[in-house]
Amino acid sequence: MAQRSRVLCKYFMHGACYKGDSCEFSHSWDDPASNVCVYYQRGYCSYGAKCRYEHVKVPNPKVASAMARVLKASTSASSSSAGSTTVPANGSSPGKKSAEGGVSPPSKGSASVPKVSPAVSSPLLVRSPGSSKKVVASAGLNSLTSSGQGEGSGEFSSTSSSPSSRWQEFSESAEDELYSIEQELEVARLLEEDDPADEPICTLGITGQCTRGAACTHLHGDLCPTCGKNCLHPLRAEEREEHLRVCAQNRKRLEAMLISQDIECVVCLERVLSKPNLAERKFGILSGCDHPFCISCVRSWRNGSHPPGMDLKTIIRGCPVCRVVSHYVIPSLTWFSSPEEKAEIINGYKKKLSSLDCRYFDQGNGTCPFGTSCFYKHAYKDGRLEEVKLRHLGAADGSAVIAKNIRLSDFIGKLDFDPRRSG
Amino acid sequence: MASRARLFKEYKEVQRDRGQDSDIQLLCDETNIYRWTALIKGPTDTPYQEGVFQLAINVPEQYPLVPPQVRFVTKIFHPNVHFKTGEICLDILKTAWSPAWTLQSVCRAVIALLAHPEADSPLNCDCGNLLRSGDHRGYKSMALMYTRLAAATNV
Repeated sequence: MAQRSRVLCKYFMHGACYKGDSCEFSHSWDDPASNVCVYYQRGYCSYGAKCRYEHVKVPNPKVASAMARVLKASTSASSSSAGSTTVPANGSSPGKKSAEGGVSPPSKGSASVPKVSPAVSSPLLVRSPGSSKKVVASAGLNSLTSSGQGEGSGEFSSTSSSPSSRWQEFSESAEDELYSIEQELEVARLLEEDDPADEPICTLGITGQCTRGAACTHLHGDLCPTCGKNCLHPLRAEEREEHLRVCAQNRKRLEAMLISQDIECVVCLERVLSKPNLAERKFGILSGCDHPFCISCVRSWRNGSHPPGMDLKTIIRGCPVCRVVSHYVIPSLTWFSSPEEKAEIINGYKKKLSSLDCRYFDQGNGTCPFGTSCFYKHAYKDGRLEEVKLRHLGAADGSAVIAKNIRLSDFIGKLDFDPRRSG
Repeated sequence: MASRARLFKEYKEVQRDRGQDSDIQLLCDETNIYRWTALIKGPTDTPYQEGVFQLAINVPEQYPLVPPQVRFVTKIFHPNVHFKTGEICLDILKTAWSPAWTLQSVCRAVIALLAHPEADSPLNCDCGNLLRSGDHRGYKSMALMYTRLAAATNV
C-alpha cells in the first residue's frame, strides 16, 4: 500500500517518521506539504475562519474523475448550446468550494486551488481506497437527494451544523453553477459501477476464518507464502508486490533476531539481547573475526585503561578470544549468520556514517586522526569533499609505507641521543 | 558492577561443572565474591604430580577488563613462581590478559605453566639457574621434595 504520494510527510518534516521507506507520504523536501484542513473536508471545522489550515474543498479523486468524465461528455455533446456552463479542465471544481459567508474568501480559495490539485492532495482521501468507496458513493447520493429536495422546497439552513446540511450547502452552490441533476446522476452511476480492484478483500478470509468459502460476497485474497495469510489482493498488482517485499524483509529480520537472541557475549557471558540495560543490547562486530560481543564490553576493552606493558596492536586491538587484530568495531542490533550478512551490516553502517560530518575534521577546521580511514564525511563548508593525496615512501627493504605529515621533531625524537654520552 | 555480575555467572558455571574437572576446584569466599580460592592438582609426569596446590585469587573491581591477581599459597619450587610470596610470572596474568578468560581458564593456564616451566624469565632464580644450566635432575628432585613437603599434606 506504500505507494509514495507527492505530499510531504508531516512526521518526516519533524524528523520523526517511524515508517521510513514504507511511509505512504513523500520523504523528499522537494514536495509540497499539505495544508488542507481535514475537518473542513468533513464539513465541520470548529475553528471556522480562524483555522490555520486552508479551508478548501478538495474533491475526492474518484468523484473528481467521474465528474470529469461526465462533464467532458456533456460539453462535447452540448458545447454549442450551453454557453453558460464552464468546465474545469483539471477536474478540480472551484464551484464545489463552500459558499459559506466569510469562511473561505474567494481570493484565498482560488489562490490555493492550484497548489492542492487533486493529484497532490489525493492521499488525504485515498489512504484506504477500498473502504472509502461506500462512503463516497453514499455521500454522492446524499448530495444528490438533498439537491433534489433543494429544488423543490428551496429552504437551506446555513446555521445547522449537521454534516448533511453542509452537504446541502455544497451541493447547492455546486448545482447552481455547474451541475445538472442528470450529471450528478451520471456521476453516481459511474461511482456505482466500480473497478473491481477497489473492492476490499474479505477480512475474515485473510486469517482463513471465513466460513462462507466460495459463497462469500467479498473477494478472497491469495496466500502470501511468507506470512501465511490470504492477504494478497488478487487485482492490485502493486500492492501485492509491496506486501511480498515487506513481508520477506520482516521475516528476514525476525529470523536474524531469533538467532541473535541466544548469542552470548564472551566477555560478560550474558546474552547480549537480554542485558538489563536497554542501551547495551547491541552487538559489537569485529572486522577481523566472528566472535560475538556486546558493544559495551568490546568498546570498554578496546578503549579502557590498561596496565602498562599491554601491547596495543596485538592484545588490545585483537579479539579477546582468537587474538586476530581488528581495526574497528561495528555496532549492530542483530547478529549475522553468514559472511554476506556481516558484510551487509558493515556496509550499511559505513554508509550511514559517511553521510555524517566528522567532528574531528570539523568542515576543514580540524584534523582527523583517522585520515582517509575515517568513516565519517570529510567535507568543507561549501560541500566540497576533502581530497587527500597519499604519499608513499619506499622503505629500505623495498616495501612501501604511507607517509603521514612529517615534522622535524619526529626525526629528532627517533635519534638515539644520549646527553651523558656526548657530554 | 559488571565484574560482580560476571563473577556470579562464573560461580554458577563452577557449581554446575563441579566434579567434571577434577584437576581444578574453585571455591568462592562466602562473604566476598571478589576473593576466591583454587585447589589445583599438579600435572602428571612432572615433579608436581602428587601435590595439590592452593591458589589465592584476588579479583579486582574492573575485572574482566583487568586480570585477576593470582598467587600460590602453597610453597612450590618452580622457576616462574616466587618462592616466598607465591607470585606467578605468567604473561596472560599480566600483559597478555584477555577479558574472554575466566577464573577456570586461568587455573588451567597455571597448571600448564607447572608442566612447562619457562626458565628464561624466572622469579625463582635458583630454580631458573638449575634449569638453564641443564641440571634437570637437580630441578626435579628439588621440586619433588617441596611438593612432598608442602603440597602433599594439603590433600
